[in-house]
Amino acid sequence: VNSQLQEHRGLLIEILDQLIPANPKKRIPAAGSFGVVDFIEARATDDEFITNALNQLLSKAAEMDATVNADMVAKLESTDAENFRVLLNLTYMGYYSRPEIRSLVGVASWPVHPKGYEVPLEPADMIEELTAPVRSRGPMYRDPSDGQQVSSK
Amino acid sequence: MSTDSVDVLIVGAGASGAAIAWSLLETRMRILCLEQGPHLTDSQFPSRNEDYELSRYGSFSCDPNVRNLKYDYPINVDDSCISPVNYNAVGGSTINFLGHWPRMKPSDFRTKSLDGVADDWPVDYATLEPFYEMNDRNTGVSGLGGNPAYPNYTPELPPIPIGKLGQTLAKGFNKMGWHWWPSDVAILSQDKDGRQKCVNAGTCDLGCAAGAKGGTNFTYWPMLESAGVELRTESRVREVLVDERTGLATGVLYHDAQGQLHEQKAEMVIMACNGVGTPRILLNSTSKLFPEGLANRSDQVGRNLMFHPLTGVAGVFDEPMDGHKGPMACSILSQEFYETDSSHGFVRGYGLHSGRSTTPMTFALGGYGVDNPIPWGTAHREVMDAIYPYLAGLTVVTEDLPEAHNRVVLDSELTDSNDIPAPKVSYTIAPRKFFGLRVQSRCLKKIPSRSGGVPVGIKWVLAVWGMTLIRQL
Repeated sequence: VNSQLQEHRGLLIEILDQLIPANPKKRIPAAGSFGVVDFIEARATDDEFITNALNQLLSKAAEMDATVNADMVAKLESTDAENFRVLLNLTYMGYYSRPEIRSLVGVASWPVHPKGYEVPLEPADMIEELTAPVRSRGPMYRDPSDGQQVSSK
Repeated sequence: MSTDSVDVLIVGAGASGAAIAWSLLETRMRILCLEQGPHLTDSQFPSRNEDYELSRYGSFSCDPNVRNLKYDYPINVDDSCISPVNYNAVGGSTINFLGHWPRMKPSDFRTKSLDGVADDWPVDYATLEPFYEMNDRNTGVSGLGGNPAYPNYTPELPPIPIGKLGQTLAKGFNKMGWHWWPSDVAILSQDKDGRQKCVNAGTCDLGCAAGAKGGTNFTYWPMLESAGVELRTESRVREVLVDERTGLATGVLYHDAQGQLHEQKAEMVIMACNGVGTPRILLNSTSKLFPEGLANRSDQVGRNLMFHPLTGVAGVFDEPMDGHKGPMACSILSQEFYETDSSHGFVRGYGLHSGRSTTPMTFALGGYGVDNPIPWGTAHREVMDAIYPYLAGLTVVTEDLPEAHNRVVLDSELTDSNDIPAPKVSYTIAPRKFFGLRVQSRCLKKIPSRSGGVPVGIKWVLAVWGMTLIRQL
C-alpha cells in the first residue's frame, strides 16, 4: 500500500464512516467500521490513478485540521469534487460488494447462481383477471395490409 | 486447425451468426464460424461469485471500453452521446442482453408508407412470422398468448412470474386504461432441451450461468457444434479478401489468439458482427476494386446507426417490491404509446418496460455506467433503508430511426491489440426522440401514483444493445 495512504489510514476510516453511516436500529455498520478501507487500499495498489486521487484528497482533508463530521466531509467534497467522486464510488463498491451488507438491505448474501430466488408464478386466474381490461379493448395494432389501425384505444 | 477452403464462413458467433448457421445446416455445406472471443463456461459467469456486482464495473461491464479485455476492441465514442453495449464471445451480445423478446409489429415494416419516415422494409410481418416462430423455438420464449397489441400468436412456454412489482404496476396501468401485458422473454419459465429454467437471479446483464436466458452460447451453438459446424474461437477477422476480377469475397484474414495472421478461404463470407463490428471490418477491407472499403461504393457502409435511447421513472411504494428477484428488466410491457398517435405531436412511438429494481451497489452508484451516485451521509441511509427496497421502475424505450449522419467510421489512430483500426461512432439523438422521451416521462409519472406509489423522479439513462443497420450496400 502506498505510504501516504497508510499515513492517512485513520483519517480515511473516519471519512468512510461519514460517507455511509451506520443504522443501529437495523444493525447496519458504517463503511469505515466495516473495513471498507481494506478494499480501497487493495484497489489503489497498482492503480496509479486511484492512488493519486486518494493521496490528493486525503492531503487536503489532513490540512483542514478539523474534526471529521458531515460538515467537514461536505467541505472536502466541494474543495475537490473530482477526487471525492473517486473515493465515493470506491466506497460504494467496497461496501455493497460484501455479502453481509447485501443481506442487511434486503438482498441475498449468496451468489445469485445457482440458488437464485423463489418467485411464485402467478395463478392463471390472477393473470386472467389482471389482463381482462386490456383484452376487452380488442386489437390495438396497425395492419398496413388493411390500411390503418385494426382497433384504436 | 485446418485452413482448407470452406463453403460458408461466418464472422461472429452472436445472435445472427448462430441463426444463419442453423438455417444452412440442411445444405450439408462445410460451415466455419470465426469468433474473436472465447466460449465461456458456466463457471466463468460472475453471478457465481460472492462479489458478483463488482464485475459490472470491470470484466463484465456492458461497455467494451470499460471491460478492455483482450477479446474486446475499443470504440471511440468522443462524438457520441451513447456508448455502444456489446460482448465479445460465443453468444455475442446475447451474453449480456436482458432477454426482452418483443416482435416487430406489422406497421414497423411500413414506416415510410404509414408515417412518412425512414424506409419500408422489403418484407412484411406475415413473411417474417414463420421465421420468428423458428427462432423462438430454438431460443426458448416465454410469454402469454393473446396480446392485443400484436397479431395473434402464443409463445411456446408460459410467462415468467411478473412478481409483486409487475402486479402492482399492472394495476396502475389498468386504472389509467392503458395497455400492458406480461413481457415476451427469451428466458425459460420451464426446463427445456437440457437448459434449466430461470432461477430469478436478477443479473441477466452478467450472463446467465444457468443457461435459462437465450444466449446463443446456450441455445444454438451446442446444436450447431453437434451437427458439425466448426466454431473457431479467439479468431479475430482483420479483413475480407476479394477476387480483384469478380469483386466476390474469397475469404478472410484473421488473427489467432497469439496474434498470428492466417488466411481462411471460403466460397461465401457472411458478416454477423453487429452494427459496429460489421462496418468496421468492411471499411477495413480495402482493395483496388473497393478503395473505400468493401461494398462501400455507395458510401453507405456504417451509416444509419441506430440505438435504443431510453429513460425511466421510479415510484416508491408502501411494501417492498422485491425488484431484485426475477429477470432484471422483464416483467410487464406496455405498448400503449407504440403506434403513431396524432395527438402526441410526433410520429412513431415507444414501449414502456417495467425494469425491476437492481442490486444495491448498482443502485448506489446510480446505474450501470456509474452515472450519478446516490447521496452520501445521512441521506444515504435514508435512501438505502427507506426507498431502495420499495422501488418499482418503468423504462421508456424509444424507437430509433435511420439517419445518415449517425455512423461508424474507422478511427485514424485508435487500434485493437492486433493493430486493426478501431471503430469511431458519431451519434446524436434526434429532437423527435428527445421530445418523445420528455412527453413520455411526464405521462409515466402518473403510473406510480395510480398504483399506490409516489413518483420519485426521472433519470436520463441512455443505452444501447448493439442494434444497427447497414443499408443500400
